Amino acid sequence: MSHLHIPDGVIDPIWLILGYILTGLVIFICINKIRKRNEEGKMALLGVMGAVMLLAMSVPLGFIPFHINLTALSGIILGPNYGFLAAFIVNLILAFLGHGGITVVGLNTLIVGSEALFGWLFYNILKRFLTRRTSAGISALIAIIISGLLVICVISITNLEPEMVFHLHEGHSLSDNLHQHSNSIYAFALTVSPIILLGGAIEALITSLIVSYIRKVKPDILK
Amino acid sequence: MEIAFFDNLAVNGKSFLHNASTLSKFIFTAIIINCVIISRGINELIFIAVLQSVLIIAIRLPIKRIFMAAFNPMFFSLVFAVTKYPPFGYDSLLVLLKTFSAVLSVLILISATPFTELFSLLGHFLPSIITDALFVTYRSIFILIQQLDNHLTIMKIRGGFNGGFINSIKNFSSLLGLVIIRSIDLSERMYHILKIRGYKGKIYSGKSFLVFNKQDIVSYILAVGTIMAVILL
Repeated sequence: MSHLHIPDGVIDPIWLILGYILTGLVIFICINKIRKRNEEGKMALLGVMGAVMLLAMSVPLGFIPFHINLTALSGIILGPNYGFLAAFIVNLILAFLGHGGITVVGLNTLIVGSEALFGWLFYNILKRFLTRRTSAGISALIAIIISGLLVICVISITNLEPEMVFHLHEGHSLSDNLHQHSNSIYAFALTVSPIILLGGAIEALITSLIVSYIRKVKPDILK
Repeated sequence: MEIAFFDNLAVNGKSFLHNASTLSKFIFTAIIINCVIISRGINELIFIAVLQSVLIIAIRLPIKRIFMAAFNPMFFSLVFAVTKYPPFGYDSLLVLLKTFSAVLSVLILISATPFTELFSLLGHFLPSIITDALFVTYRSIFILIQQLDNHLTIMKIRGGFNGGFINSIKNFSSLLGLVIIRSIDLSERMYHILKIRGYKGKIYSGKSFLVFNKQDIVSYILAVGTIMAVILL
């Protein structure tokens, strides 16, 4: 649920184009950083971690409409630059399978990519004070909550008429529109928040257990 | 996983759409998705869905299975449609129909085009590191599915999912951890093999995307027909 399963044709094109422009910009920055640091050798790992994420996504949790995606874990293992590229690759393949529209790939990459970024960031901060297992769990939970909030924000913003956002709209009562809009977003947030929280808690638990297993079997992966 | 099912359809299919060039199918899909985006009425969307259904039957794809795959992503759209336009009405139905047609168009594309050809086409527009990683992801998925399947079977036989929810989650996480470790080994081996074969930051597909064959005509006629129908309806 931490990415938009919204298909093509629902969100106004201006937001979709903006999503693609921002994603393209972040990808450009990530690739430049990778080239500067001579990290191109991780390309195969990027591909394989993308496959692991897709595989994890194919396992539904059953009792709630949520699937784990291991994006925060990918961020921890790959780092923020490769983590973001992994998010793009996974979203592109998912879009070809009908999970989120092709036109929504830009927005989805920003949301899922943020999960990789925040997963990596909080893991590296928390591991100074806590065990790696606990740090991984907490960072995954924080990253999922943040990306969940981003989903709600994106739905909220993209649901508005672009003219309303850019203050170009005339002839309609702005307050009436905003009131109606906030009601529908409130209903949406109320529906998805418990799913994001419960699913996020399960994914955090799984992430911390995976990190614990990797620490026991091959600890150098997490260095 | 669905990817294996669609890959099988794309590789083994022999219809006119399977034989058409990747570029023509990509353009056809892009046009249909654009028609879905600009459609503001149920009639246009029903027309597109009917056209897609006829196409699925004509190119001998398993319609029931494809419809099931198309219904799957509709759950989130349902939440969106109901919360955005309460109670369920004309606009909600419009959202659901848009979802169905848009999903169906990408499913037709991947049922008639192998992923490698799609990635090869995308390689002309995306940075090489992403295209290469797409190829590696695609190759790794099938290896990892096999591994995960084998380990899941062993785990079930040995009672790995007995002993309650927490125990199942713990064992499942260890299984995923094992798959990740194996994947990293796999990626290292794959990178060394690529290096030996002369990999210098780009995998060459060796195909030009600007090709045209007579089967492409059908894709273009269908695309133009859909645009005209959406405008006229």
